Amino acid sequence: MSKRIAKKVLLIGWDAADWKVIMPLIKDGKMPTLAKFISEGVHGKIKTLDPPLSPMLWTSMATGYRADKHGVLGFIEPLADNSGIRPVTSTTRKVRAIWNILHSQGMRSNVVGWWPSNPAEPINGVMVSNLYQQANKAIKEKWDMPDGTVHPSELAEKLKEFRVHPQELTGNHLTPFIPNLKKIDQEKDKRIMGVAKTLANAASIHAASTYLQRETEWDFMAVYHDAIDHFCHIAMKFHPPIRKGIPQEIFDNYKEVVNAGYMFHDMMLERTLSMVDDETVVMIVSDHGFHSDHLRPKYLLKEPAAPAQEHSPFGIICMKGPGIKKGEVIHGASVLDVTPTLLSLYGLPIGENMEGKALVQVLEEPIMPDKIKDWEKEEGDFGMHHQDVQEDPWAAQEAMQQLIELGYIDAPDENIATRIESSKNESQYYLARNFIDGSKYDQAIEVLELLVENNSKEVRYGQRLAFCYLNTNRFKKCRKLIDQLKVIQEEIEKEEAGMSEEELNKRKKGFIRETELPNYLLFVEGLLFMKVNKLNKAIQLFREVIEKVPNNLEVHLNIGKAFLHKQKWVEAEGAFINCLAIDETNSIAHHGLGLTFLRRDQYESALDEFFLSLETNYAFPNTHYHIGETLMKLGKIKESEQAFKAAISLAPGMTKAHRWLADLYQNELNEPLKAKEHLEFLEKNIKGEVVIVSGLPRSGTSMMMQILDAAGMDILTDQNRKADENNPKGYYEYDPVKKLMVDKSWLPNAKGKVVKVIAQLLPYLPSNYDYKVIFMRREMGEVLKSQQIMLGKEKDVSKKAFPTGLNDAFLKQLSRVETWIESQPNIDVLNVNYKDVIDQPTEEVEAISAFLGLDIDAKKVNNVIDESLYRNRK
Amino acid sequence: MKSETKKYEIPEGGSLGLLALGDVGLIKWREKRELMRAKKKKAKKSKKDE
Repeated sequence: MSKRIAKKVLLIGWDAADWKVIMPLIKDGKMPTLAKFISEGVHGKIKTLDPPLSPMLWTSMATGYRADKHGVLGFIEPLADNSGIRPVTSTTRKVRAIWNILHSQGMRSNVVGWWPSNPAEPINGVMVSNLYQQANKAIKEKWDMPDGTVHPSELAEKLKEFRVHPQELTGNHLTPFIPNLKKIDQEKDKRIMGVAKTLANAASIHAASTYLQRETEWDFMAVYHDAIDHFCHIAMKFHPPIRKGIPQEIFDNYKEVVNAGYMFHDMMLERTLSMVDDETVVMIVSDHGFHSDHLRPKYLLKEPAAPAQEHSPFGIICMKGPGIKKGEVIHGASVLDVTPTLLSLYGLPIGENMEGKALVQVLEEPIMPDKIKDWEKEEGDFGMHHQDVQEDPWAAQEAMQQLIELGYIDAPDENIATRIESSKNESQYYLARNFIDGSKYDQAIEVLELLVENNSKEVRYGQRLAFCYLNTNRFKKCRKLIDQLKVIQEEIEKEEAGMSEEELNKRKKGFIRETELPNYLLFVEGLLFMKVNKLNKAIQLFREVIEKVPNNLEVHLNIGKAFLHKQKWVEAEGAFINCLAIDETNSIAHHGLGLTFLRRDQYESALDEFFLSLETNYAFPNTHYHIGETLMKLGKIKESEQAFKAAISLAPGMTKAHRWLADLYQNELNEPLKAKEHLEFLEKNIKGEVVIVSGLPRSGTSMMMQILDAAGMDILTDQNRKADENNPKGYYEYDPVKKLMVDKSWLPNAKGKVVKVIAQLLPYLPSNYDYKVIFMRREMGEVLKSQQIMLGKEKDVSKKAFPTGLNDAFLKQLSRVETWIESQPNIDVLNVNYKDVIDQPTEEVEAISAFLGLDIDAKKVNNVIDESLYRNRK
Repeated sequence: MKSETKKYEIPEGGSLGLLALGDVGLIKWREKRELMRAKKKKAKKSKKDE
């Protein structure tokens, strides 16, 4: 068993908390408690999961599993008897939460307000469910607490008195949020009640948790606040600076709500921390962020849970306490890491099937956490409900009402059957998105195909399915589906064109629909073109999307990527700069921009961008790798060693980083033992060596294949392309090579053999093979002349219409390939001049023999070097 | 556990500071509110009696 680091852990959940709002407040001295907290501990960003829906995320946080394993799929679910729907409950969760595991170890937990946690589970300790704070009646009416809200039930009466009713609040409480409170007509403007409810709920949770924190014995305490998320959904659109289209009066009324919400959390935190002893580790986390700047969406799509579109992908994480480093920044944390980290703090093993990792880098003394196969398979009492426990659906109605008011779910349909069907579909849709987020495309396809089959007009489902087809290389299916979806979209648009505004608004359920749907299809279509290497077409479609949705970051990123593929560094730079104008912290854009500098030998600028990329996403192995590559170019050997090591720590199988390290230890640092370690890794993991004959078409590649064939090497060819007058001795081609950019599955067939790959396709070779490339060089005029003849354009040649455009294009392409090869540690290249092979075959064969480590009999191959082939001289 | 030595003014209408103190602040505010209500009621009754 690992060493127990923390005697106690206090986990505080602040739904939707985001550094972009917090940091300016800290700078202005408005969140002093959190400022002190992060200066005495560690802090950083935490990556959310998709879909960014709170019940799913907080369950992932408390279990270490994605939604497909934990079973909470959205906000609502059908009742077991199909008589209606209800909010998800603690019994929806199919796996053990951290408090259940601690229960099995004899530890006591207090859990307050976790979403979803009703009915409260029978754990050692106290559980106050997420229905605790919900006020479902006016203040003068009796405010009961639903059964199952508190465990143990003896504490219910005591805790009941700590609930704050929204109508109990006064101007003293609300004026800091809404300075113009007295001027606003509260009958007409319901936002005030929204703010009051949110504040009352936060105060209720805080009162119950401070009481339990002080009055009970506990080893673990988890307190969940949803208030920041709710304040943001109510008022982020009025958060300064004012945006176009927002009426000044409403802006003035509600511009303080978000900041005041955060400041109130800081005040609550001060109290909570004042009761924490020195043996307690405190962790503050959010499940996602919330767009607070120009990235705030102007409109929300017409779909359930649409408000989640306001969420941003990075939340906050901070930790402080015994054994935790001080004043450092955490990189690469994910929502899935919270439970593994908690288990490690208690010295308990992490489930091997948990998808996150323990954030051991936050510890002053590094540990190697223990592992257990699967906590679900462990026998014993875990303090969970019996499977037959069901929550009273009516008790949950106020929670439902709040979700409706926040726009997370639609108001109930009169037709219950329709409502149930729709909630089932949505949960399946979220399940599919969860699979996509985990790159489990085949499982997503299984779910989505069924959804599309039964809901052919729901374009959202089809779009995700097309995306999955794309990512599993089912290009024909993807194309077919995109075309079908386009037709459906057109039909919907025609139908809507004939509707009155009133009908249209009713259909849109209060949301203004941005013209995102057809644009998303265009986007997926663009991605499809990118996948099949039709980069110009892809860029064209992406630009069409940009014309309609100029601030779509994802599309700008893909324009940048497409230009990177084309090795058009200047254009790629422009695209990534556009990305950064939208989101200056975007790590992919900084990385892409860095690459454009690296490839143009602007190493200092490249490093600047790579480091900016790491600031947002430290866990991106390619960035570390490219930092290593750049530092090597700058001759900073020791620093590049660190960068390659960081890349490997994040992606242990990154063979190209192992190669660099092996090379660096062997040739630069003179550390043979370390070199050996990486060489051994490569030996184990490299799938084999392939000899490649490459060059421009008509540069002598077929001749070189003949030479190697005659030398007795194993040639990979299907001989589909027969010999002809242009290549009387055959082409030695292998058809699957032509599809290298989309299909690399044939590579195992090439192991230990020789295969012909034209120069332009070399950058698509996978990195888990070693390559020896014999690169044929031939004078460009001869190459072009030979190509023209082959294409039957001899007349053009005879008229001396030298194709200068082609000449320049080929030269550029060659230059790009050469640049790429230089950066590939798994590729050795031997440049062979076609003319030299003809003129001095013996010397050339010797060079080839040495390069391949063979003993080629020059006499044998001399016979195949037929000077008559050298006929297309300039 | 750290000792609590801060002194707070308790306004009848409460305050965010009191809510932020958790259960203790909430109870103190409600006590003050009830006290003030009782006082007002008493004052009103006295006035009526006069």
